[in-house]
Amino acid sequence: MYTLLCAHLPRPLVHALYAVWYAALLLLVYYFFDRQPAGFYYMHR
Amino acid sequence: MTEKQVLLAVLFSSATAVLAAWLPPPRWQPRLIAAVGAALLLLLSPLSACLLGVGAGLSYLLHRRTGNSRAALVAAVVVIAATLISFMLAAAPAAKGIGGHVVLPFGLAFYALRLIHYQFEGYKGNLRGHSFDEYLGYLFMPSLLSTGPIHRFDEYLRDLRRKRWDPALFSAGCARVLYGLVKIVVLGNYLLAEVLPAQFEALAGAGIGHFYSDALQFWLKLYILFSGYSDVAVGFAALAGFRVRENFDQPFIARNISDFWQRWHRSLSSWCRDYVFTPVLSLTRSQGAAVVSSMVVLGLWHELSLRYVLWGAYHGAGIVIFRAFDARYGASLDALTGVTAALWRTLATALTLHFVLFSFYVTTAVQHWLTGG
Amino acid sequence: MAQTSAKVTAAACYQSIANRGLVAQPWLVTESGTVTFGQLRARIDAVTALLQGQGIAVGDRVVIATRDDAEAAQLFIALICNGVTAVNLDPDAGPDRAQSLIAKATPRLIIIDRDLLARWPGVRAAGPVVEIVPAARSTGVFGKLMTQKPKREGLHALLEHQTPQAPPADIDPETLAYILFTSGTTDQPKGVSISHRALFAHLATLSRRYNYTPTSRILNTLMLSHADGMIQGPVIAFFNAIPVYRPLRFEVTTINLLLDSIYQLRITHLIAVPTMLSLILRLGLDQRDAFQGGDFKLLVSCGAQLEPKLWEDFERTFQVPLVNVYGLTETVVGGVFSGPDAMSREPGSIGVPEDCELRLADRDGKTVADGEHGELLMRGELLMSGYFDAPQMTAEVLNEGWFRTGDIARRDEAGRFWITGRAKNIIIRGGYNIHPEEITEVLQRHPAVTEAVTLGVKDLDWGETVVAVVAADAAVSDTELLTHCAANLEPRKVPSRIQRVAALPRGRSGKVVLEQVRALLAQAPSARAEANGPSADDSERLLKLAASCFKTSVDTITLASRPRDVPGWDSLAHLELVCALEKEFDLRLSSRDIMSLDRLDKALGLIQKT
Repeated sequence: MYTLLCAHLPRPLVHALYAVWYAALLLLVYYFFDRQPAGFYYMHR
Repeated sequence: MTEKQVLLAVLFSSATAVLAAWLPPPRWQPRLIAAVGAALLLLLSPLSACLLGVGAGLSYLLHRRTGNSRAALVAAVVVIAATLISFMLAAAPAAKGIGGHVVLPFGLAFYALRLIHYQFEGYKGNLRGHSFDEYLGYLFMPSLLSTGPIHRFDEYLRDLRRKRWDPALFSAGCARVLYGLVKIVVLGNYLLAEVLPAQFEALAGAGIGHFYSDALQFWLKLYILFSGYSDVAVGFAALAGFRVRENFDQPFIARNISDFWQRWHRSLSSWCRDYVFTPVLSLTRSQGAAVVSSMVVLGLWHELSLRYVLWGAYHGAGIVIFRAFDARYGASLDALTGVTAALWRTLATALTLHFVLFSFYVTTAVQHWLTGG
Repeated sequence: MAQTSAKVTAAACYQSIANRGLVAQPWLVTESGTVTFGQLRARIDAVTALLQGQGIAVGDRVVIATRDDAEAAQLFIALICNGVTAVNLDPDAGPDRAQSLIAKATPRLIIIDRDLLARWPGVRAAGPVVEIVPAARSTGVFGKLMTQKPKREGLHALLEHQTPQAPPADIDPETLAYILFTSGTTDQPKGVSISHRALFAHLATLSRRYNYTPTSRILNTLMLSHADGMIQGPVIAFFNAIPVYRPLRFEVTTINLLLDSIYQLRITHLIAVPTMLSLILRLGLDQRDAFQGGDFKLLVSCGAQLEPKLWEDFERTFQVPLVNVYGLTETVVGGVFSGPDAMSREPGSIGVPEDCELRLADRDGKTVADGEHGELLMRGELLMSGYFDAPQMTAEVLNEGWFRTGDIARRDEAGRFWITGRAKNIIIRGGYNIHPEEITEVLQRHPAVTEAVTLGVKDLDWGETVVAVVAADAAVSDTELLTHCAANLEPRKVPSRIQRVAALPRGRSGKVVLEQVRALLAQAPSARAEANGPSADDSERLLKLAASCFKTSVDTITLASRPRDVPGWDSLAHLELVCALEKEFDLRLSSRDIMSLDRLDKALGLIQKT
């Protein structure tokens, strides 16, 4: 994916896109972290 | 301790282990990684910490003292398996299989397999020279303690000896942990637990559709959560400089049931191949016996019950039948081209998926029939 | 720097490591520690002052004899920078040989390990001596607190008191950079004399050919008392201002560590002899991805003929580009290269010359026709100035600018050269040249030996091994003779085998007829190589068998194949292979054998065990 993007876009822009994407994911995780877990499954073995 | 606190403890100790893997001088790294893992175990389950500590010491001593004696291997496997089985038996009344509550000392199901793996590889003469510290670092690595993958000692040791700062691996590790967390927290705990059930309900209606939606949700959730935990574990291992075996490889697009088991919980199925299938094969020289016994062990590892014996046998039978089919028709089916080939591939994938989706229904039905319930 | 066409000299190299921000960069990393370019420069400055203080001038000779690689390499380069001829001796040499070489060199100074001096007592008579005394290590925290600075003795104490001084900026290119004694008899030591001109011209050639860049990292574990170790190691690293690693002594037990190091240290260039490649191929298969760490650029094979099968197997198994270098101590290290480019690469051939000319000549020195065999002659800047203080020997090999290599070769239509034979009497064991007469000489000194002759026998791993054919008193055991050899020879020169005969076959002139000795050896019941390789026949049968079990063609599998490399090698095929093996080779495999059979060469091991 990274190489594909770099082939078409300037490298700094690709890096910025990645930063935004990771930040968004991190926010999502942070926001939903308090939900009741749906079960740890294998963790509980 | 709530489940969320357990998750936080695992995440925190895994991150600490990453520091332990880079900051101290090389000699201290495995020791400190092991120390962090031991602290996590002591916090979550002192009993489990003792079990693993004793198991590590004994297996290391046994390997050192007896080298590759067959009697030592058999004894070690019997003791480890007996320990695992007795805990499973003790927990059996409370357990409800996958998705049940805490039933075993934390991590036991995984480190028991690692201990057996170590004995077997010692017996086969495949272990490079190593110290007890290094072995402890392998067994106690915190991110891998709770959910696997069941990584291999030789691979761990090779990574330890080759350790170098690798920005690409580190950044891949970061992304991997993040994706894993998204799978667990956003997709699993939120989307699949809170949003989708209602949608499924509305779509499925009653009757066969209900069964269908239940099976689909069950397997989807299992996949998302389990692969999410594996991502986090593999990601943290990468941050510490270790390339751990992958656990999943797009299992739902498998073309046949044999293929499925090479894509689903791969570290477990390859463990079963190496330490159940091959030994049974070498003793009995029977392909069928080896396949079925390894799938039954794989099933029983989840829960000691008739249901899982049947479930393992169901998959074992599936593989044996597929092999026979493939030996007979495989070549001509592979020779197909164009639209017919595409059709066949789609059909095969759908068939495999449904074989898996309905595995629990089929085995539960057989179980009821057998027990007269 | 190395890439520019302008001639690079020792002074320019010194300047470049002094000027660039290299002070903290490693130049030489050995088992015992790291020497940075800053430390190297400081050492050169101190040695310069020491030499001037002792009145040692350009063209004088200084002997180095030490087991400490870092010490030997630093001194070697410091001497070269001063235009003083370095004579670096093999610390494994026996006392007689060492003393005769040092006497021959007539050195102005001998820098030598304290314990070597004890072993070679005659050295003191040959010139002024400076001892290398390992610094006393303070032990433990307490010891470190108590001693403020370790007390230095010998060389280090001398160097500490010098006022650093830059080496001369201009050295006549014909000044001898170093003299390297190759194997020869005690009466007639052969000191290959290499001038600054030859050395620096060839360093430029090698750097261009291997494509050394400022980010290259060399791994070279070969002995520093040989050109492939010293010149292709610390010296070329100095020339290019790049690091060279010697993390371990190469042994069968360190192969895994070597492969780990290549990955861990991000090595770009590995310098190796074919014996190493053969052993790595045999024992390092668990780590086939060692060269795939993203940094590795080129594997350099030198020192001996690289068999085409080994060449191709190694390239294929480890997925590395390889260059084979042909050359002699007399040509610095190389001159003729094969690979990795498609034009020069041809497994088995030595390729094409670079920055030098080749010619094939018959006995009378006339150039032979294309396709004919003839002795290989070389001409170019890389040639030695001659054998030190031996005009007669020099004249035998150097004539009108052409150097006689002693190898018989032919040229193919594409212009590549192939070595087809040897006109000189020499054994190449594991990449190191051994003069058989040197061993014969030692054997004949034993009172029980009436006559002896030494020759090389082909071997799969070592290329050749040393076999001594001896007529001696039956009361003396082989072990006793070997002990005698070990006391007087470097370990690698000690014969692998001693063959007893009543008398050596001699021709009319009284000379030993080597052909007849060889025939005798072939008949001898104990005619086996030092390490028996897998028989070609068994491996061929095995590969064929495996291919049929895995439903694939023989070309897609090798002895290194593992289940994950071969699509058809699933657990079903595994059983099939086991049964087929048992039937074909008439064996019964135990369950452990079956379980650990995860590579085809292991099957070969099982076959040969029974």
